[in-house]
Amino acid sequence: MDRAKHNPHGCEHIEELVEKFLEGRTSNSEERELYDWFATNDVPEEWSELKEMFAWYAAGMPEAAVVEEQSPAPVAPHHLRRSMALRLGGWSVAAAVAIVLGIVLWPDAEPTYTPTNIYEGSYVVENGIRNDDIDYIHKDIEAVLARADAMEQRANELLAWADI
Amino acid sequence: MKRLLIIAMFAIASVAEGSAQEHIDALVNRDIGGSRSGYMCTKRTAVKRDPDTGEIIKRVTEVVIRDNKELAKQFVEAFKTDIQTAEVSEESDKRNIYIATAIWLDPKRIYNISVTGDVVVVNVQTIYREDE
Repeated sequence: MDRAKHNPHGCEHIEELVEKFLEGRTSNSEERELYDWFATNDVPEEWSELKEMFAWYAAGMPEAAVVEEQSPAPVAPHHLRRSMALRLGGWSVAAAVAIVLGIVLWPDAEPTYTPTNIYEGSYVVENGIRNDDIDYIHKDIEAVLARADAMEQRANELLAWADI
Repeated sequence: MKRLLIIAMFAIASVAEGSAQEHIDALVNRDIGGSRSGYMCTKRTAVKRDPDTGEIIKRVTEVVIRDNKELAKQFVEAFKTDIQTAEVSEESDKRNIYIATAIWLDPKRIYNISVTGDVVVVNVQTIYREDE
């Protein structure tokens, strides 16, 4: 492989893993391997930024303020920052999706008044049998409300004639 | 003396308010119907809420009774009694058909009855907020 020939450090495997890492394709074990390798090996000058970056990842990506107290925050090279942002962006999207799903699917979440349950509290009793399943009786409810609206309109006319 | 008169007026108004539709309400809220009652009865209560707040805008109860002349007579009598306290009302009583509408305010309550032969339809609604 040509690239291996140009690898000044003779670490073809590590270079491949770094590429996979920057493309977001590494497994957990491969990432752990990278963290360990960069933590335990002396790396040449051109890989020093990578070493800092992997140390930061290995430390659980601490906040910048915390890092500043201990050591200068690692600055990823420009071409790496985008990859890091994409990786972190992916996690952010996944977290946002999880939160939204949690709100929608959580059974004890605060009730929201949807077009169905604006009729909450309605019921029908037919020959002594009560049914308060809104989905089942919603046509009955809408019919009753429609008749009530017609009566309200008539009542408003009567009130207007009586000048009230 | 003037103060006493005002208090007496308030007392009369309060009593009138409390008993405005008591005869009709007593019948509507009664546990009517049932498999052993021997007549057909359907009671529908529709509650309409504000979709944003859940606040009740309107509550309507509709009672439909078939083949119960005694209950029909009680409803007609209740309407004829309570309608006298209404702010506005209209009434039609011809042969076997009795139709009446009574309106009270604060909150707006509209009570309607239609008796045609053996079928009685009573529609009672309280409007807590005018729909936008």
